[in-house]
Amino acid sequence: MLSRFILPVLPEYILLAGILVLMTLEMFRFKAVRWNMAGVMFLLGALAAAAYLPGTGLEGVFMGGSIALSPAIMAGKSPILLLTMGVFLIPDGGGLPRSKQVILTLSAVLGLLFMISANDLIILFIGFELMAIPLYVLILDGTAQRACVEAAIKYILTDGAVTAMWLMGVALMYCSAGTLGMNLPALALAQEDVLSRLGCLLFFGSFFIKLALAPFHLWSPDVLQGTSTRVMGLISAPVKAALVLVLWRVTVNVVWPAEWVAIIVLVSLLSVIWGNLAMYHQQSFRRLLAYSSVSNMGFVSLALLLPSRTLFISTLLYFMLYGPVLLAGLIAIEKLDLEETVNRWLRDDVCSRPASVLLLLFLLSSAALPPFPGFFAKLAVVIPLFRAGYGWVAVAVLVAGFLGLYAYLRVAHQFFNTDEEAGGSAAGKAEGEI
Amino acid sequence: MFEIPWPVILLLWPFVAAVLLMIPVCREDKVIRFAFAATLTGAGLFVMTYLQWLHCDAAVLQCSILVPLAGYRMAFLVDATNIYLLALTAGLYPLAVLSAGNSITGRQREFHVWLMLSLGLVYGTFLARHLLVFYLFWESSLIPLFFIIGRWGGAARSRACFKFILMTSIGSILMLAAIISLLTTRGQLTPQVQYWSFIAFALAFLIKVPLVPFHTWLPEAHVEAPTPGSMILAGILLKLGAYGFVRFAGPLFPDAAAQFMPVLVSLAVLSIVWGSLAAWVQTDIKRIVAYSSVGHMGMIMLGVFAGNAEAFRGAMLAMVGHGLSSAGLFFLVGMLYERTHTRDIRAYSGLIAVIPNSSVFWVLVTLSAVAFPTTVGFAGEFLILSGTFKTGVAGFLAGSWGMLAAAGIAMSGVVLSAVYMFRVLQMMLMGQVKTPCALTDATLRERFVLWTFVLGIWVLGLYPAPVLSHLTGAARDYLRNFVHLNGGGNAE
Repeated sequence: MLSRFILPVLPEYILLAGILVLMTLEMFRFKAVRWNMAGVMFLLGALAAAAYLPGTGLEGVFMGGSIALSPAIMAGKSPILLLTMGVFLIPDGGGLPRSKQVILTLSAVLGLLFMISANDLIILFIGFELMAIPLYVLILDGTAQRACVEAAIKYILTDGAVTAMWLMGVALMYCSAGTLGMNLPALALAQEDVLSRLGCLLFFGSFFIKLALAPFHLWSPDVLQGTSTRVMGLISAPVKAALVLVLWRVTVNVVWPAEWVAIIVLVSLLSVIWGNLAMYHQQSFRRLLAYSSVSNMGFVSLALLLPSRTLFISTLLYFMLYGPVLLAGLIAIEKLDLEETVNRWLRDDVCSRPASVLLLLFLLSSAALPPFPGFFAKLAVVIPLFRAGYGWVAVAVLVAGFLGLYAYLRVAHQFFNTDEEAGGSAAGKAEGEI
Repeated sequence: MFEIPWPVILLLWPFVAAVLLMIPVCREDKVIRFAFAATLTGAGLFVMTYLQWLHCDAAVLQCSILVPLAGYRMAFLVDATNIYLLALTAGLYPLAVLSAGNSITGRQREFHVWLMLSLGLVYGTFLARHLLVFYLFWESSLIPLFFIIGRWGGAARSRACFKFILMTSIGSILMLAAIISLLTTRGQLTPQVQYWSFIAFALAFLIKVPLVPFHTWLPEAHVEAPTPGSMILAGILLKLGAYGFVRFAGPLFPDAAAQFMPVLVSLAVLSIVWGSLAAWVQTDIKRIVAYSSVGHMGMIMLGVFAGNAEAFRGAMLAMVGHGLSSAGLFFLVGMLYERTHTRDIRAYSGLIAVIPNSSVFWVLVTLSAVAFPTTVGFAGEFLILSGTFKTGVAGFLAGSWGMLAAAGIAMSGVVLSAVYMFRVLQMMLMGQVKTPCALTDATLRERFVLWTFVLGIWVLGLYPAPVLSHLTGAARDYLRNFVHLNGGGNAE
């Protein structure tokens, strides 16, 4: 009983228990509760469960074939839980009480965990919705009221349309392949009838929109600009990590037809190029981060071309390296009060704050300069691409990634270098006079 | 004593010093002293590394660091090819710290943190044995200079620092692609892989050296950088490109290197002439020194590509010589600029009567820049030219006149460098006294720095034998790979 119904989803149960406990505490208005800490504790509990389960030898399909359990699935949950803990480090600037923020965040993460554990597309759909509904409320919890309502409506409309698209895709593929298992897309890709092709297009297209890959990224900058920094972190790191891991689940043993390889390469390269180019003229730090996320997702989505095992490892590495860097940037936004514009320089007293180091770490890392984590994250995708025989794609994405260098360094230069009031070198000041 | 991995300690020490500066362990007004002590300690560690290398039987000292979590061993080596470049690095950084005393006024702590990081990364680049480790340090070494130029530079620093990092990075990206491709081919170098990889490596190195037409970032970066930045840039960072050819591009891809040698030699010769002519017509003193660096680096690259042991040894010696003379000249320009706030050569005249001590140093350092006999500049360039002529004559007798022509044109570089540098001396030091404002002569600290340069220039110029004897083995190893592919040449 325990091994069949509780253990396979132990991390989810722990999170659910946490949500219930926190809701009870919130209902009785306990003042002494440190909500962020409590949220982190439950996430730690779920993480411990995810780490413990592979050791039990429990593996396979449970709950009537709805839930799958394997060491890789449990390993996939770890970055999501860790990145969510990182999200709790971001100072909350939203309007919702902290208790509700924590409860809703844990609820969204519960949905993410279900998405990864799902062994059929129905559970996957439930996971999607479990994630989406708390996110709608959280996005409403922005700092600037008007902008956040706009962001929430945009997100709800986009997400609703994407969900409909996804369901239509599943329905069309089901007509052709006759199963709702996680291997449905793989089966549909192997078929050549119109229904399967259209179904695949809708199915994977919905993921491309959710991941905000160009040219389906238009919702992302507006939503991320309008929402609170913490929710921005949640959407950009754990949610996207979970989506890519779901893609890994549904593409196990898939053989991509040539046209799909072309689509993936095209969408990925376009995302990297457009994400980087769009950053050049952004005045808002949040929009810049949103486009940076588009570019990064372009890199990650190229991993779809890799063999399943490599795809999993590359994705995991990518998010374990990129996620903390992104969260560092978001913490810097809040700590250094960088809401408004990138066209400013940091005063000497701001530069000496530890958060400015986080900002620098984020910018240099996102520019993929060694030895920062962003460089290794990109290597985690590019090296396997070379090994898999996509050498020219790897070269193209490296060169496209180079386009971002200027954008990030422009911001770094703007923040740290052009402090005209504080004075550069004696030479610099004097030359200005002459 | 010699069981301790001194190269690893040498590499790690600047990073430790940077962290200590950040913590911070000393007050803002004591930062320079701390940084100077840290760089001197680094120089001491280099001496230990040098002694360990001398006592090493295999002539190649190897060590490694285990990277925690990754389980990867970063391998390093010290041999004749890099030991003197390490020496130059260890010697120049303390002088750069001293030069920062007057030129850097704001955020001194931050400046010295970047300087320490730069020192560690340059050490790493010279010491790296594996390609990926080399790339990591190579590319990282751009970051401190980007901030040094961008934060403490002149009025047009933004443009200069971006041009510097973007131009050098585009080459590096292609080199990274080539490195990854090599890693995935597991060392099986087909002619096609060699060909494309060499192009990628060569592009990265040519931009860094830089040779014409990839040199456009250099004058701006030099002109806008603060004095210590210019010293490091000219003295050390340019050498990374030449070192890259010697350590990796040549030995790894000998067939492709031989195939491209005529192109590379042509670019080197073009750089000598172009750099010298461009320096001749400048009126900004820093720009003159910057363009002269293009010419001198062209000469060094000619030595590297000449396919001759003598020229190779000359090139390695000239790297050290150019490091000393160009950094010394930038220091002298910085001294003048800090006092008068202008670098226009037309604003100065008759300085020898106003600042006699500094003027003498101008003459002494310039002599090395024009390859005057008894200076290290002469020793290096003489060997390069004589080696190139030998290869040229051998080629000519075999029916190929290209290298002989290259040597002949390169000779003009020596004459031209004398023309534009003596023009500087003549315009600034001679004639009626004319200065933009009242000038003071070199301070004790400045004289110490300048004496160090002068000593280095003449000690190595008068007695280069120990260095050259160490370089014999390095030259043999370097040329063994590909000189036979280039129509014979005169390897020894």
